[in-house]
Amino acid sequence: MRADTILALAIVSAAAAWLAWRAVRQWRARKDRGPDCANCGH
Amino acid sequence: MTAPNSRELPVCTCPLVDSETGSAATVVAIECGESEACRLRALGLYEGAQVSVVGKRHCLLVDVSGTRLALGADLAEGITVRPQGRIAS
Amino acid sequence: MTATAGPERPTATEPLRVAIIGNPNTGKTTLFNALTGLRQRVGNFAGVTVERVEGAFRMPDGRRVAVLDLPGSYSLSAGSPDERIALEVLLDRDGQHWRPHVVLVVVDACHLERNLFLASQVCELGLPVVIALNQFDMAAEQGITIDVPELIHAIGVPVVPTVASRGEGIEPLKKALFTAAELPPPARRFTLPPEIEASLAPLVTHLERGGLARGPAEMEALRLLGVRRGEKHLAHIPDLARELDAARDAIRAVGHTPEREESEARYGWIGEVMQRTVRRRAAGTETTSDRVDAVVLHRLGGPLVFLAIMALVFQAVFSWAAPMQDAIEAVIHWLGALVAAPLPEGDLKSLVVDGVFAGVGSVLVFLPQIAILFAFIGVLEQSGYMARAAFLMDRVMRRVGLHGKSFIPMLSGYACAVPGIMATRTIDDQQERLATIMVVPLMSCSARLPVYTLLIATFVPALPLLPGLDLQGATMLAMYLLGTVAALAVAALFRKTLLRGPVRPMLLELPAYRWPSPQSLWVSVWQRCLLFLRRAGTVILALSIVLWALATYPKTAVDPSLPVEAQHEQQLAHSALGGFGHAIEPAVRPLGYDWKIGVSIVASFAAREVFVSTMGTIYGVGAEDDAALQDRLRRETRADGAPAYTPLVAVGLMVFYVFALMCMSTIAVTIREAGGGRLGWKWAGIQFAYMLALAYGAAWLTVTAGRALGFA
Repeated sequence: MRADTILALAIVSAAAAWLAWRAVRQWRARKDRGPDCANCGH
Repeated sequence: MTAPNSRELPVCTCPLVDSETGSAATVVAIECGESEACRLRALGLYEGAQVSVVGKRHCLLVDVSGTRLALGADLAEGITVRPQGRIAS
Repeated sequence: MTATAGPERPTATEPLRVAIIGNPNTGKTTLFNALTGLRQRVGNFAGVTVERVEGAFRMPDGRRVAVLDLPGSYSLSAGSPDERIALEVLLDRDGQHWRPHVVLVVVDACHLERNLFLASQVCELGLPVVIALNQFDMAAEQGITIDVPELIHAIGVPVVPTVASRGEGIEPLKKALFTAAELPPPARRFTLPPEIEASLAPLVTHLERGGLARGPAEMEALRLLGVRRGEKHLAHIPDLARELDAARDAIRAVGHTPEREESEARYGWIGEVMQRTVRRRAAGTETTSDRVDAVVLHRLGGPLVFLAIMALVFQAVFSWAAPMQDAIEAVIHWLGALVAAPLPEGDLKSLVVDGVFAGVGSVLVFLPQIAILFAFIGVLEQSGYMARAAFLMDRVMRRVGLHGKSFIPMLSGYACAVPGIMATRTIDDQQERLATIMVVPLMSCSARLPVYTLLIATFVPALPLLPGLDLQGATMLAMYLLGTVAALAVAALFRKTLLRGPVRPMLLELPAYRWPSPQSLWVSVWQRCLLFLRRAGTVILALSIVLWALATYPKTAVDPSLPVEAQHEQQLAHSALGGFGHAIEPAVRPLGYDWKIGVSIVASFAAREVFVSTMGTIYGVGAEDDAALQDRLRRETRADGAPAYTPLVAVGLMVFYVFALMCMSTIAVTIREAGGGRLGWKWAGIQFAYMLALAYGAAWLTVTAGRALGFA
């Protein structure tokens, strides 16, 4: 595989991992914090 | 009563909702739900306060010590006032 | 932890904690913005979604101050959940252990009498108090002169005249906060009639045994005579209701009315204070506000002004933003070219160009529209028009079983459903509140704006209709009206079925009109823009990258003899995203959508504006050039060669977005606001289901009726 393809895949994995981590964190914190809103950050 | 009627006129009272536009009055009694009464008093509309009616639409527009309040007719029905005549303008 | 501890002093390491409280419309938030500038953090109070805005500033000598903006309240016993928070924070019963060192009471100099009611309550809580006498300039204009030294003497706390909108008096105010922290806390300045005092004594003792200090116990005893409902911060005190009834009976026994005691005692004292401190020049009874109201609240003129303002807002959002959007597009295009140039052809370059720049860029261009919308909402709120809108709408709202006040959350819903649903906290009646929560998401929020904009700009011609309004603007207005009318209809339905009950009487303050403060407006618009940018840089960036991967992998062998566009198409159809899209295609087919639109709709559940970036990613255009995405959409064909997007399908799609609850954040906030737990889930479920059904039904009806009428 070419180096730039590997780099692309690495970026994709990082983005997916971050989204998953964020979802877990929000779920855990849901009791004491409001949700993050798409536009106003509430 | 904090606002005695100094002119010793015969005491006549009516619901605030029957007051005419441009007339002033003193609040005598507030008869409505507890939380509404509590809010009215916090807004400056308490027994003894001076109110004047500045407009009538689907609601009453009143002036209470410089504050404009919109009062529903049902609420103004439960507020008894002693009319004081028209406001000088 | 409880109020028995007496006032705290800040230690050397922690900042001075200042809580700001005041009546609504006193310029409290403007003052807060003037104190803290851009250093603010927006969150929620623990357990409830009342907005908690905390800011900070630093004194020239390095001492730090943390400022908490409490919800606007007329008194400490006002009934809405929003106002209850204030007392809980001040008595350190909100569970966040943020006990203020100093309370800053913002008082409107033009309405001193009413404002001093709240101030006199706060002064009995055993905390150091500073009063900011705000809008001092307006009072002077109205011929009101206030003797400040005499006022300080009468109330017994520092009083600082301020004009928050111009930043006047802010520095002395900051100094006063530090000075006050060292002063002994104020206490009640009036005495009750002896027979009342005696009747209240057992209740005061009972409250003291429950952990309250003398001052707060006396304040609470007097306050509770007027309200009967249970309050959370006193729930731990046993037999409170019995003691309270005993006190009321004792007061009635001596010939007084318990409900009147507090207002009579406080206003009696305030009357004396006013007499000593305030001189009022005899002025005409008609103010400028009255002259404006004569038009704005007119039977016929009022609704016309209201509609004109709404039309102006939507036209501005749509057309004024265009030059700024073009500029942003140009910058993104330039940046994209700059970054992609040194990269070799392949997956990485495709990721950067089709994933990152296409995805994030297509959302970023909506920044100007969001800024303009929030600026308008800020102007309407600060100028005092919002209360007039609620007044005008009360007639309409009452017909559908809601209070005029419900219109303010609905109007906030135009910006975002989340603060809109949170704003329902000002509605006292639970049934009315639930009905309002149910319909707020039908108001087209700013996240739908990118979807409408893309589809309108692509498929609706800019035919001029009226001066200042073209067909594109009118279509936009129609979408907003559609959502609004549906919200009213659905509210009426809820109030006739699941949420029956009487409507609370109208009671609303109509604040005097005033010019909005540019600084305060700038702060709030900046906050919203910053949050939008942060979203674009984080969640939307990550989602764009993941979507790009799903649209690219697994790779398939494409026919190299086909044109580039067809190759792209073939690859997409065989990707993971393509597979998923084909799976859900039967569900969206009756609406005239192909699998690509289906994918975009599902992806937009994370945030509606992702619809646009998904389209950008799927078609591999959009970011560098909004026009390219529009062009691509116009040329897009279905398998049978017919155009995939006709104006009819585009309108149907917009109608779908008007009604569909495509927003995780709204669902989360509904769950909490409708009561949390099983009850919250039930209402959120009802909301999601009815909105989806409505969206699907209305979109289907639009397309079917349109076809029957001969439109493509």
